[in-house]
Amino acid sequence: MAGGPSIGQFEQLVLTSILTLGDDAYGVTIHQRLEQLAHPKRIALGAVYATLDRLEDKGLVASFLSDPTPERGGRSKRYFRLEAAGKHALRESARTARRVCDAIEKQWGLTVWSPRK
Amino acid sequence: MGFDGMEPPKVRRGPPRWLDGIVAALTPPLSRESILGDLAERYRSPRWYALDALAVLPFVIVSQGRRATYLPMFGLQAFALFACLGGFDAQTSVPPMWARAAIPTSLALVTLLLRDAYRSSDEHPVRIPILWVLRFGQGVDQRSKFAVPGGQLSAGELAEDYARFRRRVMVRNIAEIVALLMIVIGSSNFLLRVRPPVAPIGWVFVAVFILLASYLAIRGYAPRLLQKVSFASLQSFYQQELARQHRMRRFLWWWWFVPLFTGLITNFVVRGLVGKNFVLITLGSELVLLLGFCIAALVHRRGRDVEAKIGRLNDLNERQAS
Repeated sequence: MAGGPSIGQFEQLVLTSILTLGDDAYGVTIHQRLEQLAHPKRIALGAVYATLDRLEDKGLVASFLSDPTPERGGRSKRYFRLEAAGKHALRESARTARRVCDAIEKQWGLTVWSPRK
Repeated sequence: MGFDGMEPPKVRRGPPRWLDGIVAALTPPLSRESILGDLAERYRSPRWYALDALAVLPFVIVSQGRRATYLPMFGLQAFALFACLGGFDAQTSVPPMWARAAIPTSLALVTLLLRDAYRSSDEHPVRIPILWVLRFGQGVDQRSKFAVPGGQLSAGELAEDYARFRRRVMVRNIAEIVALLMIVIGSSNFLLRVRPPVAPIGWVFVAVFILLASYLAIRGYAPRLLQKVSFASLQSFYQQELARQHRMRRFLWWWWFVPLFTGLITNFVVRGLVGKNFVLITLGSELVLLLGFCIAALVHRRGRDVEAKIGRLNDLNERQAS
């Protein structure tokens, strides 16, 4: 992988969550989407915040505060969006995942994806 | 069952104010707004809210601490604390001195981390950009370690290596000039606005920083290589330039730490002298000496690296000759 920071599996999941949420990506929604993606694993909300901070430091995501909303006790949401480097890193890791999947299918066949009985 | 004819009781859907206040106080200020909003959005009951906050806060505090802590400075603080607490004492004792020093050092470092995590703005003190420059310079130095593949190089390859060295010197030079000018502007602003009693000394320092920036602008760059120079003269030229850059940077290393020295002297020694506090004077003097020792050790190590590079260039010369 040429240039760009490398990302781990959890970071990959967080980036995917932000990507799929579009303009509605903030702490709570990212956490909900992550739990769907990582099912049946439970995800700690705190771990999501720490990872979002780290991704922002790496320049993969950017954040901005919204206007305060009454349902949140008059507090703002911190929205996240993917930066160009984040999109690139996500694409690279998805390509790697695809290669892994292809290699596994080649060895074990397509039935590998069906749930275990 | 309903509330016939009665107004339904007002149910507060957010957390109780007292609980919200406690959680707000425990949340690092820089992420308080969004974290409290998220927790309020997930609110189900006071117990749920408290447990949710307890689960989230450790991650947030550690993350904020990590973001706000400048690692080289943290390392320097750890070293200074450990040394001051006798961690390097060679005396044999049970438990050993390093173990005795490790516990209070760890506690102090945790406190420093928390202090950074609970910083209310992401403004950093003046020392941060200075240390960024130092780190940058160090990074450049790491990459400038002269590697001779197999001890054999053509004149062209050596010229290319020198060109790379020259580029790195140029980048470092620009960064250092910018940092020096930032110090000059910051210090002048401080001296003009605050007018401290030691202002004349401060202006002397500012003048020296201006001189240093000017010197770097004029003489700091590695000169361009003349075309068609022989291998031997290129080696000699390269060696001389390495030595010259080192002499210049050795001096500059001390000057980067002048703000820290000044801070230690004014905050400890001078305050101790004014208040006749012997502990402050002793502590301040020891810290100044320790800082001096650390810088001298760094300069010495850097000198050895440069000598090694010059030595490798010499080896290359001898092999070529044979």
